[in-house]
Amino acid sequence: MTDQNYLPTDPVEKPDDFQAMLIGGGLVFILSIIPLVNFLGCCLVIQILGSFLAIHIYTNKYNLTISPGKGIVLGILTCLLGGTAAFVLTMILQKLGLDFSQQFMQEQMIKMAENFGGPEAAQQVREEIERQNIEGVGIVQVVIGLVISVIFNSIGGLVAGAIGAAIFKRAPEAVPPAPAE
Amino acid sequence: MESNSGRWIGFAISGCFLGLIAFSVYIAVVGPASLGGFFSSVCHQWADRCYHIHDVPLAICVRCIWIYFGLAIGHTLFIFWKPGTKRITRVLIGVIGLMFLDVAFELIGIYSNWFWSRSIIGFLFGLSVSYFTLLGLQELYFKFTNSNTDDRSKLSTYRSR
Repeated sequence: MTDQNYLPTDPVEKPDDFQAMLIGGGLVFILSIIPLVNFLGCCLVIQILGSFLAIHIYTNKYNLTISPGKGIVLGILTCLLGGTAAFVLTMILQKLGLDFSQQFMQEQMIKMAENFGGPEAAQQVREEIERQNIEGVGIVQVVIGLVISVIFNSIGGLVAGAIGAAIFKRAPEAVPPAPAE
Repeated sequence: MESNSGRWIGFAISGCFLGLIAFSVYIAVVGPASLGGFFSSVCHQWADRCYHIHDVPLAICVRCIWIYFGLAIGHTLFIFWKPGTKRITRVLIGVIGLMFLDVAFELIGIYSNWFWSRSIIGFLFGLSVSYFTLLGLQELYFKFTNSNTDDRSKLSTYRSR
């Protein structure tokens, strides 16, 4: 007998969720940065789609039925990966003056302020936007934006991960043992 | 019955979602208008699809409000009531189907901007999702705190039903 026979071997491939997470996060990232598509995202739709894709790929590849806890972890990490990357890229584009959706977003903010607080509030927001455009994006805005992004991506991942784990069940149903005679 | 920590997770999450609803009301009633952008990444915030307080729309739409409300109620309700995973999964799939139908009916023009349908479906969606989020969060809590096997076995029995 050689020494090789005594080496510990792992007979089953350990499921690796990183690839699935990366693909799901990629979808969240793409949907979050495409101008106009990101504004269509309602009721956590972007986060739900990304997490579903990640869980679908993971469970399909390894024929698994995952627990709600595992689904939540996968969902949250997927959304945080894609959402944070999208946030960082948006910040960089804004800094370089290449963020094409910014103008649309600013118009929406003015419209929203008009709805929430009337013409005076809209004027305030307009002045604030002009001031921000001159000053550029400050560190405080970046931190606040990042915190908001993390909160909602986590909520999205939590909800979508739990649903995904309940819906995507790939492992064969366990046969209940026969009752003892 | 749940262990105390299992209960507190449910209550805490319920509180968070009620807090989000309260925050959206606060923005509409007293908050500065610029705070309205807080929810912009997760909700379209179209004024005609929001509840209004003194003619000011809330910062999240009707469906989002009821989803949050369903999540808040569900995280407390399912601490005490365990209807079984298979049954809730069926309800959840049914509600997701209804949500698609609701959107499709609006697009086709069968009805338009019907608050009742979005409220009921949103609430049921939040309620059914909360069963799984509570289950998952409790599982993660027991896993990370290395809770006793009694708690874990309760959770697995609960899940397999």
